[in-house]
Amino acid sequence: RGGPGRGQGCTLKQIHLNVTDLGLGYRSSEEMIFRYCSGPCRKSQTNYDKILYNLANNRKLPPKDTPSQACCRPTAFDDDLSFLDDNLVYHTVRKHSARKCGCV
Amino acid sequence: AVVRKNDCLNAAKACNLNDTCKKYRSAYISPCTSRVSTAEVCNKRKCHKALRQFFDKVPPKHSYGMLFCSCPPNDQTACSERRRQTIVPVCSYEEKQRPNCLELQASCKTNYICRSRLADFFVNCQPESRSLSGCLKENYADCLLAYSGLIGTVMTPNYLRSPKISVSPYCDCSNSGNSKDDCDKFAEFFTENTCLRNAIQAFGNGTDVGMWQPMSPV
Repeated sequence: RGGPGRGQGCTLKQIHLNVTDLGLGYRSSEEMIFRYCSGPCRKSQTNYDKILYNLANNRKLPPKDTPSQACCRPTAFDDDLSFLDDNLVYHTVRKHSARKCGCV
Repeated sequence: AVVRKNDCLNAAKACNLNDTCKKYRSAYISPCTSRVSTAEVCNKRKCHKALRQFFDKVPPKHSYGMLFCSCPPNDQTACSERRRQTIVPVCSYEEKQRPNCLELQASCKTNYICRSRLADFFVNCQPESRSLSGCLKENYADCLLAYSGLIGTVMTPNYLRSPKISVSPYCDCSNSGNSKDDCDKFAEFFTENTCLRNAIQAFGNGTDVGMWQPMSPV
C-alpha cells in the first residue's frame, strides 16, 4: 500500500463543501466531499532529501537555489465530479480532490 | 426569504456525497456534455451507454432519487427543470427531427436491448383503472425499474414540460397515415399512463413502493 515515500504523518482528510466554496467560479447549490493531503513528511526522507538538507546547511549549493523538501501531496486523484449549476448547465471538474497521499 | 424545498436538488446533493453515485453520475455527464464535432453536440452512443451503466450500478435510492424526485405542482423551473435535465436531454433525448413514434418503435425492435426493455415496460406499467394502484401488476417498483431501463435506448423517455407528470420518448404521431390510432395508443402509454404516474408519485412522496405488492398466498 501507499505511494512513493509514504510518510506516517501525511494522511488523507476530507471536508463537506458547497461547490461554490471551491472558488473555481461555479455558482451551484450542489454539494460535495473534498479530500486533501496533510501532515508532516520528516520520517520518509530519502538520501536525496538528507543530502539536499546538508548541502543547503553547509552552503554548498548556489546561494539562490533552495530545492524543495518532501511534501505531503496527492499521489492519485478522486473520480471526476459533475454538477448542474444555477443556470442549469452541467460542469465536470477533474483532478479536484485527492484519493491517495504520499511524501513526494 | 422563504427557502423552498427542492427534492431534485437534495437528491443531486446526496448523489455527490456517495462515492458510487458520484462516480457513475460524472461518468455519464462527461460524454453527454462533450462536443465531438461542430455538427454534433455529443457522442450519443457513448452517452446512452453511460446512462445505462448509471441505472445498472447505482442503488435506486440515489438513481431514482434524482429521476423520480417530486416537485411542487406550480414549480416550472428550479425543481422540474432540474429533473428534466437529469438525463442530459440535449444529448440523450433530443434529435434534429422528431420521428413518428411507430417508426421509432420499429427501430427499437431491431436492437435486442431496446426490444426487451420496451417489452418489460409494456408488461410492468400496464394501467388498470379498476385496481387501487392504477396498475394491472400491482408493483410500482417493477414499473419504475422497467421505465428507467428504457433510458439509454432509442426509446429514452423524458418528462414533458407539463403541469402534471407526463413523459414521452422523443417522437410524435404526425405523418401516421392509416396508423394514427395505433400511434396514439403507443404514445399515450407514455404520456397518459396512470400506473406509471402513480408509481412515480408514490416514489416521490416517499410512499413505500412495496405496499402495492400482492400478498403472497398463505
